[in-house]
Amino acid sequence: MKYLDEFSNPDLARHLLDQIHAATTGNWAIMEVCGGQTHSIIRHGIDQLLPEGIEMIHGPGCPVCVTPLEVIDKALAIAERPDVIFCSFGDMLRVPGSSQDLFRIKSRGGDVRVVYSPLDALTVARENPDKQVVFFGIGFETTAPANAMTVYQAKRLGVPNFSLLVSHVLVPPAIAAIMESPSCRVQGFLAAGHVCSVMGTAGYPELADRYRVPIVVTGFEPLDILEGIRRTVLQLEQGRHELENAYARAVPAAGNPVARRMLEDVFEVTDRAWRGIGMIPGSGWRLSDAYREWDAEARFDVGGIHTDESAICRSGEVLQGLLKPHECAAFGKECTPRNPLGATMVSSEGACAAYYLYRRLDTPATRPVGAGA
Amino acid sequence: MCLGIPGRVVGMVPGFGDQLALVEVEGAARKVNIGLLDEAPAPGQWVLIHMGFAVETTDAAGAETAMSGLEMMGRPRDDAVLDHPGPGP
Ligand code: SF4
Repeated sequence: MKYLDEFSNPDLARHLLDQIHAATTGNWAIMEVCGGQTHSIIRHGIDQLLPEGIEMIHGPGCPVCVTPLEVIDKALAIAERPDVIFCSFGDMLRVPGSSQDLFRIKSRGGDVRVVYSPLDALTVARENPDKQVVFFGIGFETTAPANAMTVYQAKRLGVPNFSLLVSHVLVPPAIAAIMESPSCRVQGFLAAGHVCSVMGTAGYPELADRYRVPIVVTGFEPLDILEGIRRTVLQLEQGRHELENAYARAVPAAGNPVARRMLEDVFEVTDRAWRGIGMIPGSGWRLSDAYREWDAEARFDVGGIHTDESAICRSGEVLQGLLKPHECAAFGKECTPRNPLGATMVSSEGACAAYYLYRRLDTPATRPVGAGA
Repeated sequence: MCLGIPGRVVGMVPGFGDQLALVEVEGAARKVNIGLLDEAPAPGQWVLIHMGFAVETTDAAGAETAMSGLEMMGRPRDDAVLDHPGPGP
């Protein structure tokens, strides 16, 4: 249970909440797309301060969480090879594959290294010409430019022993897939400003129009989120469905032109499976023909690995907003951040981890007395 | 994974096809690739650094917002710096 005095500007938070309470007459389900926003909402108890009629549905915007089990298994198969130095963000090390994780491979002597930039992996490759160096390139529009630039540099500098295991996904096709799903309950979206700073807002007005759904671009600070919710509620109450920008900093409609050019050169759009959601047409990137040589999946011939998702873990339903994390029977029992059964319990952007950190001791349905207007 | 760390450009350094800048991130100097920016940032310019790349130019207020965002996601400021040593030469 959180209180307004924990907000950076409690008066403004109170003011925004009052406006949200005053404007809300209907029942509205709003999805925050970005995992940083989910973390913020749960940490600050924003969902508990909203009117009864407003439900926040936690979207699939956690890059670690939506990476399919199959891709994790491919990473593990590559990392196990004695000739490979496998480089990854630290978050990915504890994500369970079907039988082990990268951490286990590392503890058994595999050369698995945590890096903070794909360029670090490229440097490792240049320093170890007798080894194959693979970087695990996952994420949304935000992480793609750095990965694209690194492959571009690998080609330019002629680093043949570097490759990228790519599992890149894109936000707008996921919004479309969520809206097309027969079980969809989402009536409005909070989109993430920092994602739009790369690709711009192209595609969003069409989505808002096609699915008659308001989309409000905002940040992940509590006040940004309240402002995003306020604007979404106003649109819903007034029967509007537009793209609005509530992000503190300007989001150029065209995004970052240098990054976009790099992405267009290095990647091409492909169908991608999303963990918990399934295949979404045109929802990801793979290396384009000119850069296919640096594709780890082809180089190590792991394309044939196919794995089914775990039967116990219900993260698929969590990622679609059909289930709240604490409603999963394994939550906080068999499944904890120390011993995660699913990726949503691993990443700090995952809904299960956020609930575990900030909600575990709360009675699920309680709302703080005196919250809101 | 998606959030940038703010830093202030000190100057350019040789390497990676003239794409490396020295950037001060909370008191520590880091090498950062500037190849994703429109033009080389001037000394004193605030930038947001993500995965070893400067991805956006910003101002002091934007830098503060980015830093508090990182804190909100559970990273103390000092760790944020240690977490992102930037790319090698
Ligand atoms: S609590 Fe664990 S097992 Fe349940 S859905 Fe979340 S990650 Fe999966």
